Amino acid sequence: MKGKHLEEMMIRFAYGELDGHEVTKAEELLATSDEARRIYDIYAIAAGGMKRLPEAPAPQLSSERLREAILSREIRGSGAKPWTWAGTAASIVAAGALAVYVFLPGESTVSPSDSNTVVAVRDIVDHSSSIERFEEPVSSAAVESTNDRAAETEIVADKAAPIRKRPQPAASKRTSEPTDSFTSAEVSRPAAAPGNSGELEAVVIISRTSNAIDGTSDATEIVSATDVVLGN
Amino acid sequence: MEAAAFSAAHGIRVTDSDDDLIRAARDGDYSSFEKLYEAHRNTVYRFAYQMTHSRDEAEDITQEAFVRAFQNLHRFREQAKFTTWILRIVTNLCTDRARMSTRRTNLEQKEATGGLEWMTIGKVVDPNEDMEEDRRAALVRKAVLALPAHHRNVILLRDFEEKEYTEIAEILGCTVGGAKLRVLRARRALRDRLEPLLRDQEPNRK
Repeated sequence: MKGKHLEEMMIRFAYGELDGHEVTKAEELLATSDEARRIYDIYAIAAGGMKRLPEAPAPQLSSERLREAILSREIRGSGAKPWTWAGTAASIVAAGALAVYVFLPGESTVSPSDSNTVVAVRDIVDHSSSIERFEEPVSSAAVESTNDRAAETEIVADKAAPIRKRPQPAASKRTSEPTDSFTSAEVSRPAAAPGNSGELEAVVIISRTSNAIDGTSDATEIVSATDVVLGN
Repeated sequence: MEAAAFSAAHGIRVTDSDDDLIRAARDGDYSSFEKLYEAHRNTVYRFAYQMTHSRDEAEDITQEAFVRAFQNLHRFREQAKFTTWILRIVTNLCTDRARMSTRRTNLEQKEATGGLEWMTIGKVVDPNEDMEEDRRAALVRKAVLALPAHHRNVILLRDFEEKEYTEIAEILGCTVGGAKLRVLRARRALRDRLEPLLRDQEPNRK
């Protein structure tokens, strides 16, 4: 046996890939052929060296690191129902539901603390009929506190852009229903507010937006009512 | 849905097989993919480390391989083993990196070889014999690192990871005969690099 065939046999022998009868043949060759021994020696060193390769140092891999890598590339799972889309879909649905709830006529649920919402107190012509429904007296401290807040919101409203009234009913649902919360004629009628003329006033909830083109503010009336609760 | 509830709904056992985990991951259970990662990351890292001899690079390759696996989970054929598939990704990544930065890799190999002399360990039977084996192992390591990436891939798969030819064929995307031929060529290429190194060392020892 010579050349490539001899080399192939010695390689397989050195790496332990020969069958029983082939091993016997290879051993005979090694005993009789210098060429076979020379080939075998070097492959045996290579095979032995491969088993003594250095251990890899402990890696610093973690599931968190992998998750970050996946999220940073905004990779969607390849499955049919990726969890990333579930979150997005839930957010969209929630936002839609909130929008419907907020913009429904008469639902005065917009928080005055919302950065885009201004609560303004405006004069109205006459709401004596609605005042008559409020029977319980309100403590003077509560009235004072609420009036202070009303005064503040009035200042904000003065600085805001002109209000564009939406085609919605002026009074909320609550005007037709008695309420047992902290509500009174005095609250919705800030008679003690500075500069107030003493006339009846209504609370108006305004959505404030900024114009993307020229940067000016714009405001849209969402809802107005005479008995909107102010305070916590 | 929480992972536990999801797993229960999908009938996943406590000792999940790779196939179960892949199926659950495809259905949106990310925790199943994390289990796959936990189970196989060390195998992938060890192979990548032997390819690059750089911990940082091996970690990067490992992570990249799993990111790609996650990205392409729908392409995984369940007839194959996950380890085979992920090693195929790793070998491709290693080959790509080697092609892109041959010069940089050469520098790293030089550094790595320097560190190898004291990192190689052996059984303490006869100190002289052990030293001789260490010396030879260091030369083999040097020769392996000098191999082109495509040879290094196959020689590590066969002679370090001890994979069967059938699995190597799957990893490389070739026939079993093709895999045997590639391994043979890689071993010859290793011999070609090892022989001069051994020759150079002999005069120094005399």
